[in-house]
Amino acid sequence: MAYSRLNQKADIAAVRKLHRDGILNDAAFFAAIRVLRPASMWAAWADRMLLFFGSALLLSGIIFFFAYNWAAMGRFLKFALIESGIVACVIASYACGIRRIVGKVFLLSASVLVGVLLAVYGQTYQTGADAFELFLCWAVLIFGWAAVSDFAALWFVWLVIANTGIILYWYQVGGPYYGFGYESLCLLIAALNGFFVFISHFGSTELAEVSLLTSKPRWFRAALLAATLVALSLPTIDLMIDSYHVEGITILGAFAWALTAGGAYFCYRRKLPDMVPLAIIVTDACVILLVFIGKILLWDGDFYTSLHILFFALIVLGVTSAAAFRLRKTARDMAAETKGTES
Amino acid sequence: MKQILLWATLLLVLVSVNLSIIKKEKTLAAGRTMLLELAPVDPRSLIQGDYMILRYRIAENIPKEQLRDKGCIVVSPDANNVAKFVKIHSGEKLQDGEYLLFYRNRGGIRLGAESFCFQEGDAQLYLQAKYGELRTDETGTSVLVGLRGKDFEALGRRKK
Repeated sequence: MAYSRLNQKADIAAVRKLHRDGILNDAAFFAAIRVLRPASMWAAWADRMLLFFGSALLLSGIIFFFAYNWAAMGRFLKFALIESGIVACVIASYACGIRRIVGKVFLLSASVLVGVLLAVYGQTYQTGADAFELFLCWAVLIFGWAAVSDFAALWFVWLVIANTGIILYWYQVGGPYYGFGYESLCLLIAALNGFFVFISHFGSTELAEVSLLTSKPRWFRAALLAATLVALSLPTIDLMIDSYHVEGITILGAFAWALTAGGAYFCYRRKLPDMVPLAIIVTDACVILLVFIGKILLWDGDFYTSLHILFFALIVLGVTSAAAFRLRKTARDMAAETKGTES
Repeated sequence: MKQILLWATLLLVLVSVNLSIIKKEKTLAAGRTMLLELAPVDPRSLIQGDYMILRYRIAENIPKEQLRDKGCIVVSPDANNVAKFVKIHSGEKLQDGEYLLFYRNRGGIRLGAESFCFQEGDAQLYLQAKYGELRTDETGTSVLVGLRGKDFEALGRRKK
């Protein structure tokens, strides 16, 4: 079937576009809006918000209750309470159906409670030495639920746990005992988050069968892309400002940064047009550029005066406004291109 | 498939955590009490509750270069059960009155419980701590059960 505005799915955005282009008059537009967004819409929205806030507050309450480490409460009672909570959440999730949002939130709650259980285990038997074990075990144990939930919030929690575990491992073991540099940590963190950005793009294609994540909100992808770029920016900045102790892996990190930032910019500009990742990439590149300029201007000189700092402030203004103008132009260009392919 | 994974994960969580609990309980039940002298302690607080960083005197006089990735040290408890360092274990048979204590090498020796968690607000109960009280089994596995003062009195609230 040839592309036409008439065989598109009718949603708010499509109707708004028709109205903007003058195809629908005001009366038709408001009538269409009333059909697409019935008066009960706000109730559904409030319902969902209350579900999220309610579960978040309830879980925080449970976490802080056990963090208090109440000595008068026996350890077996604590374990039994938390384990029954986990079982109840999984049963509730099954009963509500894991395709529905309520079922997903129950599964998220069960996953958080596993962390509480591991924390209480650590408190009880004083296993405090290697905190990374708690986070890595937690990530391994709840992986199955994250995979079946197909729920971005649960995947996000999983990634926060996995990232924390990796960072703690490096801090407690990898760094002090094996002598891994921070660059290997940055590369690993970037690989993990970058991999999830990558697979989150296969949600609606033929690869959906193998993808673990078919729902893919923009905030999820944006947060992970930002994490990837920040992790790779650290060795890049290090390479620029501390060129005396350059090692191969630092250069590798900077190379990976250039490759990732450049590749992602190309993808989000040409293949999967999206302004949010583009803005993140440009902001990150601005930071790197400003560090570079600042290093030449302030660091390399024998001394610097308030005049240098004023000059640098002007450069910061210049670079950031140039980036903003550039992004606005890109946004206009992309809007025009989408229009061009439609008509 | 999704249903199987849902329940299999629940099973994995319950089985693995409860097996670890049973293992710790076995060490607690069958273990021998051993006291380790503490280097000065320092109470602090984090979001998971109050805890105290512990450093053991015994860890200070162990030659670092002979440590492996992980292994055991040989200790001998005195009349008060305070453990004294004998040597790093390398598979030989133990003499009478010698026991094993498991360690990990983290750029320095770690005897397992480098922090002690207690009920929020109870820090002053543990300020006088002089010894860490461990239960150890014959393989050297240990669980820290509490802190003791200079006269070997148990500190803080104890719950069976």
